[in-house]
Amino acid sequence: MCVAGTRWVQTELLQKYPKANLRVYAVWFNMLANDSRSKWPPTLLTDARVIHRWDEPKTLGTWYGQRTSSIRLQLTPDSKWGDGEVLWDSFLLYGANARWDDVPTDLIHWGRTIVAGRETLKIDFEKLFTSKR
Amino acid sequence: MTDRLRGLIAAVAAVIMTATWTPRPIRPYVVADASAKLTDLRGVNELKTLFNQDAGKVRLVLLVSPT
Repeated sequence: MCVAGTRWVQTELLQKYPKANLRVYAVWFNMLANDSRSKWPPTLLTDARVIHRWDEPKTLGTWYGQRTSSIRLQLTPDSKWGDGEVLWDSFLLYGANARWDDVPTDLIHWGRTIVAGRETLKIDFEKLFTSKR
Repeated sequence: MTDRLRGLIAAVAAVIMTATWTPRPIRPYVVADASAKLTDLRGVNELKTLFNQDAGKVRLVLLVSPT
């Protein structure tokens, strides 16, 4: 599902908004039995605005997983999340004014899975970047 | 205009077009980065630093597994 979601981000968001003032942080880690760093798909998210990181100890997914109860209002309507330990197959969209001190501010929406929340993400991109297509 | 004159004009036009035409590079629609790299995340603080360096941009965090 992660592969499908990231492919959708590449084709439906990044390719359709090539001029959008945007940064994407793709943080990869093992969650499924067959996952490994060697299976990272380098051709999936090829846009120059994407920064890729490998997170072997699942640091970021754990960090977010411990905080989802405080951002539940921004969860997309189609998403499901039960405040698990590690948040994954997920996106979090922040506005241009966001600042990260204790926690990142200006969260617009987050979703899980990426595929489940994609309609909201698509609408958010249309609102943010309509003139950047 | 005679057929001969028309032919001459067409020939001159063809020479000019040939001399001035240069192929346009084929530009991919997507801003692609052929050198996409995967490096280790050095903790939450690294992402925090990157996040704040990119202030002014909309930011999208993806938490994903590779399969």
